[in-house]
Amino acid sequence: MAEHPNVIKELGTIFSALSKNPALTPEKAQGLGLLGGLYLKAAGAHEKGEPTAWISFGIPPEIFWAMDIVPVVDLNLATISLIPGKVEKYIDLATEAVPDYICSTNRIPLGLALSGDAPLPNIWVVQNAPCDSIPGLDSAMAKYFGIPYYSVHVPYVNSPLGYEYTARDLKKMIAWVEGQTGRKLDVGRLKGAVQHSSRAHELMLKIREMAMLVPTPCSLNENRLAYTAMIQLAGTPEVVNYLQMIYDRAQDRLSGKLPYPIQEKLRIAWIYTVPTYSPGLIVDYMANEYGAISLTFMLNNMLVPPVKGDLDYEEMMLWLAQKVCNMPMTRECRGPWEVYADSALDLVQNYKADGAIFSGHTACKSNWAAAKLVKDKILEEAGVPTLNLETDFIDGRVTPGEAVRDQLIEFMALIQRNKRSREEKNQAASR
Amino acid sequence: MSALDELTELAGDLENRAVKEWKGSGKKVVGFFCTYVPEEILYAADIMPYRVAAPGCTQTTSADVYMTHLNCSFVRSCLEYAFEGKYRFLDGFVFTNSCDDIRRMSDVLRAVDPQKFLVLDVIDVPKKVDDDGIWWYHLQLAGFKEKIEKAFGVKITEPKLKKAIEVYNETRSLLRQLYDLRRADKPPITGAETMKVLRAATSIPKERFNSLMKKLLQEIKGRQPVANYRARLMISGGGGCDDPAYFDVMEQLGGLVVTDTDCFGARYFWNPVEVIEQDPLLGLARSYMERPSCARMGNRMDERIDFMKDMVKSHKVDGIVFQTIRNCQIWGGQVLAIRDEMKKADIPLLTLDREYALSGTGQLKTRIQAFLERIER
Repeated sequence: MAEHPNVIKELGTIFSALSKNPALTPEKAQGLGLLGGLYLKAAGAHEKGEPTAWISFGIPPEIFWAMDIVPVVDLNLATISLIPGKVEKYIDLATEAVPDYICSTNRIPLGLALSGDAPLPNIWVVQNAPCDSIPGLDSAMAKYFGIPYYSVHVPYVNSPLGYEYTARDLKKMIAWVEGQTGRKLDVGRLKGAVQHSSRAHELMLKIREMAMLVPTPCSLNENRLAYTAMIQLAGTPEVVNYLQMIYDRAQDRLSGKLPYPIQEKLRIAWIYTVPTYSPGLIVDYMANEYGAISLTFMLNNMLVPPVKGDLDYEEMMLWLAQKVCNMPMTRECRGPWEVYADSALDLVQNYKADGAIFSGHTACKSNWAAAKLVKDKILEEAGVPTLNLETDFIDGRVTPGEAVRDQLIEFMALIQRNKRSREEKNQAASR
Repeated sequence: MSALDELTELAGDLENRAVKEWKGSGKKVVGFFCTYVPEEILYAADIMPYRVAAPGCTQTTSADVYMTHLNCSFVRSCLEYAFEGKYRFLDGFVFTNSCDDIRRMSDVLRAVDPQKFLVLDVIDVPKKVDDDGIWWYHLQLAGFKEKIEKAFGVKITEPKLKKAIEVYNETRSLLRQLYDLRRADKPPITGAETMKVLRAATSIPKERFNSLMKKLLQEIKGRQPVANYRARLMISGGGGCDDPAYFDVMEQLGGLVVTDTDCFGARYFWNPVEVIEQDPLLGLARSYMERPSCARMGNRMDERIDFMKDMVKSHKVDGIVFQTIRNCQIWGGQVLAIRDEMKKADIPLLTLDREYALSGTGQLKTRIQAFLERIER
């Protein structure tokens, strides 16, 4: 009987190999290297019989690093889509078992589990936000595969009392993880992890400030993998080094030590996801054809303030709870629409975008139900048009790159016209 | 008029006779969507809680300006009816963060016209059941109570709350008695008729409903029972299963719906609310959280499966129709484990993914027919 491949190990090997490709920018190479290293560590832990954990994005990886457990973000296994032709098999397999409107990023771990191509974790910890696919499918999947499962509650809106609630639940989660794995949380190690995480969040804020400059010295092309790294590697020194490198290179562009890759003519804010497929027809296409630089996307918009001083255990848990509640997507997608609109406006206004793109993942029901409200608010308050694109950001079969490109062509023409008109008005006013 | 006829008639219109009479006496009616809204709090304020639905909605053109084909058609239908003014008789809406689509409906209504569509509260119901969850929900209910008191200038006293719990517990008990009668080999009522009773339960004042229910329970004892059927069915799955015509389709083909585990059905009334003398709100919080759960409760998968199995056993069910409204990710995801667990328990299960509106019944009939052939006695 043929042995199943271990996709997690494969991802580790492929990403590590890709990271050595001299044609890649250091930002991409180091990002892929980080991911590769993570997956290799996770595969190694499994081979050695050490406890392994899947976590959902937003669950603080710092806690798991401090317990010497490698946290793999279940939905981030969607990075398999970075390897062309690999992801479809798992999505299709899952779709035989659950409806096609379940989020594809949830269906990928299901497909991997059903195929036997990825080792199942010993434990699975999720947050029950920001969307319905998580409690809906993950609880069923845990039951189906017999994986011990813990869900952390995130209240509907942020409040001091809500943070306390989530902090209490995180403490209960730690006790549960200890019981399941036999690994005890070392508070000293957690302090170290929180310090690394705090520094990483500080760098995310600095990179954000840098990306706002005109022209931007740090576009999505450079910082794209930051979110992916942060949701799994926050709490490690590696992610600090990686973000520092992104920041330093942006500084070098600013000071003229490094050239800007493309001359910036238009500025684009992606107010939700960015398709991972067909970059040559989407993000790179816009940049090459129109000089339209993708500045950032919502997932990179991490606004968690760094910690101040030396925190005790209770304070660390509260900081981590605040982080859980304010992670991108958890912040925008779970509460009232105004929170999302404000976040999108922040991206458009502070990044001085000429156009906004809502690449609405077809499974994100809550965002689609707010998309018109958000689009109208951006136009009303910032005077900036938004393109609402219906895509599955992982599965290019839903809206192929060519179809996305065709919509982009029209949108680029619109924002070019708008920009010319603005410039003419400004010139007239200055005369 | 028999009690069943009267309940059927009352359930037939959105703004039914009982609502008109209630409003005619100067009292308020508030719409709610999810059974995690404790109606007792409204009832204690002399406000009639009214479960919002959109029977007969066949198109969602206006709603689709704000929502899309990617959203649940039950919610879009309700939004359409709201825009069409069909809920004009409601003095406000109460939401919970039940699911992504419903909570966003509250957003759309607030954004479009906050005066016309008064959203009184979006109650934050935790998505897990444990002591902290009950504590949190208890806090939310205290806040909800205050909002209602402020919005309508009323005082919800403890005695009024206890009285409301008593009335509602009587409703629960009467509906349980009806469901107990459906355990019989020859039940006195069909699934479609039961759904009409359930629709009335959430769209007329509870005291009036209780009185009619008592009459109904007496009347149906002398009724010709349903003996000629091919198989006993149970409806399970997500919300939006509130259309008696849907049950009619199954029953016209020879199936008999003898029970359900739906939020429009058994989950709505299955367990009584515990009366905690010193803190009735806590009793409400605990009872609502601990009752048979919606799939949104991530840590209650085992309980949901057990509830289904118990119901199959108690009502001698031959097969389960597990229906979900398309795009309902909460229930759509559950099918993975539920199909597996029912298979292990040797309980036949048919999964149906459907739109809220009952249109194009051909495919539904084909699926039901094939299922009945598989399981018939």
